[in-house]
Amino acid sequence: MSYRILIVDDSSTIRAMIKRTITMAEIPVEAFFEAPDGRQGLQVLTEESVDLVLADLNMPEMNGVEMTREMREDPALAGIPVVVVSAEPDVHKLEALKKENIRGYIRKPFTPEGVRDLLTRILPPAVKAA
Amino acid sequence: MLETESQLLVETLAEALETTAFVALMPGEPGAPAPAELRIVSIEFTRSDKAALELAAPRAFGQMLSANILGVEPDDEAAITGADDVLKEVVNITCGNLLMRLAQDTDESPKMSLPKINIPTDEQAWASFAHSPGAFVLDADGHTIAIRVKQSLKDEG
Repeated sequence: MSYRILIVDDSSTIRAMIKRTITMAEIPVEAFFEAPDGRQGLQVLTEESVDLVLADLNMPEMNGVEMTREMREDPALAGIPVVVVSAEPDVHKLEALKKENIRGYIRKPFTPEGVRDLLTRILPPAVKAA
Repeated sequence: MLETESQLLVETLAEALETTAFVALMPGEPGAPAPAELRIVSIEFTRSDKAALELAAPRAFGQMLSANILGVEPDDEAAITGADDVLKEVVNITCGNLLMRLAQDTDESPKMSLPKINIPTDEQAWASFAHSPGAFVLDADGHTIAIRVKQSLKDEG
């Protein structure tokens, strides 16, 4: 079984890089969805079934934490795991992410190995890659 | 910036370039000619004061980074259109990691803005950047670039 992954980042290059990194990490993917900010990310989530959200923190319109809060308030979206991918400098803010139901953090710049190790721990066990 | 902070700035940029785009950084010539189609990317941040990290680089450098990241040729349309975007991301990553390292073992909560890109029209922009206090001129796989931290910006808010 393959995953359906939403990538939310205001940089189109980073979205492409994340897709490439996940592919290089040999994580099976059925579909990638993309959004340039949290607002449009939420829109995608209302239209598509998604197994995992990878979201930047520092974005225009709606940042990753705000998007996660809105997801948590919607029973249909609350169970989708969110992983933050960011270069956030404030360690206190990163620590506070645990309270926001964020399941993991990938620091930019990242390597395929780092992405693979985190995602295989977080993705639903029933469909985890062999 | 202190000498150790300046060293950290260059190390952090080198790490960002190597990990994201497989590009190696070497010392450059401060007197190098102005790169064509210069971009100056800046990101404001706040520690004890408001400051900005700035990168001066030719558009072709962004194009090369974009090509390496996407796994395409530098003249590919995706690399061309992604050139400015990837320069902003390199500055974002460098600034985030630099601030995190500087704030390590302190109570600091550094904040940074979104990166902005400027295409200077002044022919002296490169020389003025490269020779400004605290600027480092570097060679990144054949492209001349420069980086600096501009201290104590006045708060416009």
